Amino acid sequence: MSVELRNITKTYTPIHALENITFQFQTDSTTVLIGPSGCGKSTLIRIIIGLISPDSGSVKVNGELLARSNIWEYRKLMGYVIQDGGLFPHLSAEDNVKIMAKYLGWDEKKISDRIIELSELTKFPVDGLKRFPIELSGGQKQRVSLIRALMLDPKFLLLDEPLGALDPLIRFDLQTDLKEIFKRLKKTVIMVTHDLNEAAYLGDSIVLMRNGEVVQVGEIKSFIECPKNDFVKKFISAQRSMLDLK
Amino acid sequence: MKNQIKIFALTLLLFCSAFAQENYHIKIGSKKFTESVIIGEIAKDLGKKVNANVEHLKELGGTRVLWDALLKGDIDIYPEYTGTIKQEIFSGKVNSDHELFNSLKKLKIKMSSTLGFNDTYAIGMKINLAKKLNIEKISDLKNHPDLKIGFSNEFMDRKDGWPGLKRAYNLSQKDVRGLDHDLAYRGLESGDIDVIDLYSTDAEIDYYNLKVLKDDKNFFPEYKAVFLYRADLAKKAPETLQQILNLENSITEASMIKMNEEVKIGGKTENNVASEFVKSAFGIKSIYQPETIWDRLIKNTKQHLFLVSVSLMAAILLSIPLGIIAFRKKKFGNMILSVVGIIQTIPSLALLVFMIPLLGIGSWPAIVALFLYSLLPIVRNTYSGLQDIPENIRESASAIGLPDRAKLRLIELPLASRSILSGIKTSAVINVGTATLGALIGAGGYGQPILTGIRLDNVSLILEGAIPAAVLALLVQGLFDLLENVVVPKGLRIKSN
Repeated sequence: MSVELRNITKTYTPIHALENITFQFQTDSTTVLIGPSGCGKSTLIRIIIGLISPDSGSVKVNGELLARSNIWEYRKLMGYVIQDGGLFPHLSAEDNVKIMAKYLGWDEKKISDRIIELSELTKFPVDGLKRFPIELSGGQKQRVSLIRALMLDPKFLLLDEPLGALDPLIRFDLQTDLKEIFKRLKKTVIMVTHDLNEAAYLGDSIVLMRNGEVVQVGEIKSFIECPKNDFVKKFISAQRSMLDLK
Repeated sequence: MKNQIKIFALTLLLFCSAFAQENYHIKIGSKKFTESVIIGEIAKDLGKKVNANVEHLKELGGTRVLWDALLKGDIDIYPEYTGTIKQEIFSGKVNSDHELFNSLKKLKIKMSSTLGFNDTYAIGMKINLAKKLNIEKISDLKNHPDLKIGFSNEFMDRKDGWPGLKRAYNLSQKDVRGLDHDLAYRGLESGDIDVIDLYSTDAEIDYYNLKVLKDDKNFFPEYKAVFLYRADLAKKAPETLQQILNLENSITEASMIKMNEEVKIGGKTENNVASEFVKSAFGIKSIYQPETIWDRLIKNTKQHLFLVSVSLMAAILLSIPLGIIAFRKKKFGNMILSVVGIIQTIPSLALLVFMIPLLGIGSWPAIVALFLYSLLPIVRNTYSGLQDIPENIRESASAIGLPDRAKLRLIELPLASRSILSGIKTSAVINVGTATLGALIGAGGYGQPILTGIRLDNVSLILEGAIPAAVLALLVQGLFDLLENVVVPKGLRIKSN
């Protein structure tokens, strides 16, 4: 399953959010979009899932052009997780994760088997599913959101700053768990983050963006060894290490 | 088998007709002042003798309301005054009685002979004040431009009322207010008003020690009491009509004043006074059945609940979709919100009266008016409830693949439910209050005793309508608070620890 972007441009007057982006995502591996705030990384991921449409250019999935007519079929192939989880507050965690399966008419057995499987994968206790979003911690919300995203066994997983609002300890645990999940599922993962360490840890490939354009693409090593320009150099070095403390 | 049914039906028909010779449902109307109500009650008692289906729609409103209702067929007959017909209904364009009969005939309306008394307009003030200022006749008012005048609302606008009077006598008073006729007497008593309009048969003239000023320029025409009725009544219910028309030339001015006095000052009901009159004048045995406070309460409650529930249900069915459309289509939505907003600004009394030419009198025009008033809170709360759903929740719903309709049903409406419900609650509570005005156009309900209570200066009657209305409003509020526990999803009701 491939995702291919061709000449994507999006303008929020007067800012060019995305400027003529052409990019092919690697199948069955994790691509991390990174860059300073306002670089267009979130806009890009929202265009991929069709929440906003580009001013010009096209998104192709498996060679098929993304359009209004096929968007609903296409979204079933995609799991989507956002910063605060985006859980529906009026539904329990369980009803949140099974809403689409129920809508599509899955039988109860199939739904509950799938939930058990995914709560093991995401290390979320099954009995916690009775709770409502307001009763869950930030980390728990993200795990539930992940279960919801994976419920229909999508081919793609899109994550928009999924760990952005979590405190460091919980983020560390979730990073570890996400890495394992990505490895086990072997899905095409596209993730947005602003944290270079996280990108380096989770991404097979990193896309560094700035002002709506792609600056450099590759493994973390290539960024360190041959940064394309001064901005890349600066971005790479703008990380604090424990060793900086004297 | 078929034959048996036929025979049974025929027997039933014969059986019924033997007991009431006529069964055409005849509706008698009356204006919202005591004399009109008494005559209406007398007509009902007379009609009942031969027709069980006689109904009296009491205190419907002023001349316009009754006249329009008669033309529309919402009522069949009502007591009116010749001066009013000439001056108010035909705007002074007919002069002789002959012309009047012809004009009415064109409209398929007939007029009875006089009922026997003349109830003309008059101008009055407290005897003491009249003496002090040396006022005997209406033209004397010219010398006292500072007098405070309070005229009944209808008198303020009528050709044969203040505008005509002012011109005829060249009066220059500036402080002229319109108010309810029954309240005018109290204003006079308290000294807030110096001069008022009177009906010459008003019981209060003696009671409040009033001086009736001489109409020295003969401005006021004759106001002989008559019945106006639909011409087709003679065909539909000739017997009943005949019975009612027995009243022609049978009420003297003195007996009318006495009856007015018994109700307004003596505290008897119109029903009671009417049946006593019918008994003494026609020897018809008393049909008077005193209505207990509970009978009235039950009747008024039923009518009130009917008005409120039907109008509210209809408003809910229309407003929620309108709110959804307003949310989805911004431009069209602005239009919807403005239109329901404008409706809300129409004064409720005016809206009720607007309904009469369209829908006549009774429950339905009141229901339509209440329905229109209920729209705004529900539309606006539906709209804002949907609007307030955080963007990321709406996007999540789309992103996981829920099409628009499923998104609305499974996510957006449940999330907006609290807001929508509180809109419905607002409408319901306002509705309970506004519905009391329905009595003005014959819809009944808790407004009926309030209206009668104001007319008779009877506080306990006013409370008989006002207290249940307030209690009902509180009950409705409580009911919706309970309903919130059922309608609003649990996830939105719990608080985080």
